[in-house]
Amino acid sequence: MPKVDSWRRLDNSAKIFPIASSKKYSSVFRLSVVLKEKINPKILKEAVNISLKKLSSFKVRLRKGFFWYYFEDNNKDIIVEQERNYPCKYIDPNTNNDYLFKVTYWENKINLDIFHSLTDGNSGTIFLKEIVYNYLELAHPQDFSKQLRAERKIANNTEDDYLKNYDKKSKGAKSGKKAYMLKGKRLPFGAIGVIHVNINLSKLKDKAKEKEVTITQYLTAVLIYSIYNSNYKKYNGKKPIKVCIPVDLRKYFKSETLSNFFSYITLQTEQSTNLSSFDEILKFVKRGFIEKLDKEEISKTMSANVKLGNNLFIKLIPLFFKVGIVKLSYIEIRKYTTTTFSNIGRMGIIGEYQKYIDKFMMLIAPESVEKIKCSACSFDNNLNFTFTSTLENTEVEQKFCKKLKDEGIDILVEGNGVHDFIS
Amino acid sequence: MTLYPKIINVKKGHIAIKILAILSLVIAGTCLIINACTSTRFLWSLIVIAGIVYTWVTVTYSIRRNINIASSVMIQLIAISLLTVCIDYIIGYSGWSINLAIPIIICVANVTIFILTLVSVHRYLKYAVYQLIIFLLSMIPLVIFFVFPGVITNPIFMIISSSIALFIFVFSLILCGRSIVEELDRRLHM
Repeated sequence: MPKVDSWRRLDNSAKIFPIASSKKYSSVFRLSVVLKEKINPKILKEAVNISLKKLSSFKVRLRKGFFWYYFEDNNKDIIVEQERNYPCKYIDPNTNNDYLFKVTYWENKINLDIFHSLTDGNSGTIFLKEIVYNYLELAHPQDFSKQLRAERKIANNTEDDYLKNYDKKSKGAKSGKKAYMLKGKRLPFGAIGVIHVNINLSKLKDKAKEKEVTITQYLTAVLIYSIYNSNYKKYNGKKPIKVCIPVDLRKYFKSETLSNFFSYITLQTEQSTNLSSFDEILKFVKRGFIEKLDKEEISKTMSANVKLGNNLFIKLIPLFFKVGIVKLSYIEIRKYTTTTFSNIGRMGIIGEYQKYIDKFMMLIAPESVEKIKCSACSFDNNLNFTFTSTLENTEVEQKFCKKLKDEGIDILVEGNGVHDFIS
Repeated sequence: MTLYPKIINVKKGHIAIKILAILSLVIAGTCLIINACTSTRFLWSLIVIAGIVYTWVTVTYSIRRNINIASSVMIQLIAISLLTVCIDYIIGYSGWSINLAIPIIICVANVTIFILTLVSVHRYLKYAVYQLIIFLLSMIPLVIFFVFPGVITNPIFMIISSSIALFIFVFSLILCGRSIVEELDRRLHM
């Protein structure tokens, strides 16, 4: 009897990514960690292999079925190589031994690029942290006891928690008006400009507390303020600025899944909002978050998406036709967002390991319609806010930094050298 | 310490592929012109063009990494069959392509897949879907024979090839039937 590789269905969110993705729209996000020491590639590869034994849900490849894609066990060797390309680029399975994530390193930095079909940011951080723990244990065996390893138990659960939690009777919310699209000359040759703004977390916390908002609300407001006062004003924008904020559904529904389990809320500026006043934007953002981060509202959006994926008519369409339909409709859907801002929050690291880590970073792939995407994560007293952009000019990024400085928050700017950015 | 490597923005286009593409166009164009200038009664230049198209299909498919060997058999079955029909038509249709060449191609494809199955039963699952497609393609001449009588004038080779295809398919089903059902379950899940 031939050995049968096990397989599993894609979760509800994951279904869309392989159908809609291409070299121009990669659906890849990156999680990076900067250590306080040079990366040893051999140890890194071993660390990834150990992590994959624990988190076998990442050890898969994508296969084409007649109606949907599916995951199948991948028994090939993992490739770990030096960083050579721009971040969040399309992961070509043919050049990556069929893996849907890519591990690269550069000096002190380990990068984990993940195709969104595989998982979301939250579970991606679990995988990255596992790699980091294993790497540090292998690199410094004398410093880590076996007890610490035993503590890190992870349930390798890949259930589709969308199906478990969606409301069959719920009606989806309307998507509203089309959004203002950021304008400007594009970077050549498919380049992606990266600007990391390292923000002093305690000062940011104090400022957010003073304004009676959360850190995500505060940064969203600064982002809208920056877009309005640079790109929007310059090109005389008429359509509303819409910011898409991914939401981790594990905070709202009981879930331990390592598959995708996220939804999103969209904040849309109104004509009545005075966008030149930062305090007005802050009030509008706070109100928007309170209204939309309601469990019922989130359930509505999630349920609408699940119902679409579960629709019998859609299920019956062969994959070949689905690809065409989804690619066409995705061109339209993406016009409803100006930018995306994803904050995956604090990267909790076990105490003993912290002294070896400098910082964490998260990056999301920008694309032809959403030319700038933003992400954030924090470690220790540093919040790393990252802009990934396909635009040549950095007016939005510069306005963002200036606003934070004006508000009395210390920042330090770094980049990938694509933009000649001066902080 | 730097956070990112310096990336040199050069779009890599495979120079060899570009040269070969230009060369193919030049050869095809030259043959067409010479054919048009000498005689248009026998369009031999079209055979050259069909050959070039076939070569490109084979080369571009074969140089892809991680391709399943059974898919190559399937592609060759389709491509060589079309090539023989083209050549038959260009030199004045006498039916040798459909009566003789295609049944031989079908036999070769099915026997190849059968050998693959026998020598690597462990990897059979990877070939199952392609074997099913090759079997269905192998049955096309039989369908043509019954639906369009007169197209196949000498059915003996077609009968032999269809029988071989059917025998191999049934044998494989007996050998790896459960695996095929499992493979179809994952491939056809909704």
